[in-house]
Amino acid sequence: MTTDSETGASRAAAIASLDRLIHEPARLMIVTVLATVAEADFVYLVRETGLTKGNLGAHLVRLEAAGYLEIEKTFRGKVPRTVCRLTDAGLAAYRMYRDALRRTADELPEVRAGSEDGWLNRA
Amino acid sequence: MNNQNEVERRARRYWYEDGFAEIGLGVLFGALGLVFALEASASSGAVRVAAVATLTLLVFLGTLAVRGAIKTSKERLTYPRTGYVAYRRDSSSRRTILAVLVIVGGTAIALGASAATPGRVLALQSLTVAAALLVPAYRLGLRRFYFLAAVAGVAGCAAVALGAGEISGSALVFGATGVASLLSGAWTLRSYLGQPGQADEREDHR
Repeated sequence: MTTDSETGASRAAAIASLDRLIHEPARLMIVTVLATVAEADFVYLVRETGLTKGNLGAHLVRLEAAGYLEIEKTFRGKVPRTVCRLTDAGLAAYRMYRDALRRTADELPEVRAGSEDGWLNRA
Repeated sequence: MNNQNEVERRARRYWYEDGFAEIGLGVLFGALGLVFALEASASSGAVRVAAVATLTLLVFLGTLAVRGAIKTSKERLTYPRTGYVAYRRDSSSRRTILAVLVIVGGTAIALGASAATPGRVLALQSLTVAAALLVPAYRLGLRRFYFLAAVAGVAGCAAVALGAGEISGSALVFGATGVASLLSGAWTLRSYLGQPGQADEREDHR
């Protein structure tokens, strides 16, 4: 028989097991966008994520270092174009993260407004 | 999780943001409407044969040409302004299922049309066009496509009510939907160009 503390521990373990590299909100946005498309350039990612160019660049470098992202630098005339795409490992990590997050969210307890002291129900 | 779904939806909707897809569709449908109108008004058999041949060419070559024109327009205008995106291609099994559905559906429509009255054929045709436009409207939340679907439906109803023949009714359905699509695309492009574009990626990047 499972006790409340065991259930709580398993929930905590599920949350802790989420891929932290993807779990960071800015990187989650980047990975979600790139999981939907085959590839996208830097200008599009700036627009979609709302991050500054420097901030976006830093997150892309971290994802690339983890092997989740491929970055290809080309030129269109004299204008640089940085094209980013998720690697197979990146796509698999995103799918695993998404499934784990779904499961974790389903297991989290419901919190109702006013349930703390029940004052809403007293009126 | 809903936010994640919305991010995915936005990425897919980006394809329609500049209006080029609707302009392309409008050109194609408008041309089909013109050819149908030409066929309906033709008195000689030779003109009819030429119209049918043009129609066949238009469906295959016109689709390819419009796709190429949309791609070039996006390369020149959209990608430098708001960024480049390439979409994943459907898996081969999904494409096979889609092709089978199109063939089965087309055959069923053709068989039904051979035994049906012109009014039923027109109703079926406008319903098919409207349904095809409702798919992106619903999946991506594109309200403009609900309007285009409504135009296709209303044009079909009008053709039936006016007692138009199959060919002239088709001219009305495709012509009206094409013009509506062109106008909607032009309006979307105008709004898109009115928005500020992104600067290129050189400033403060890495």
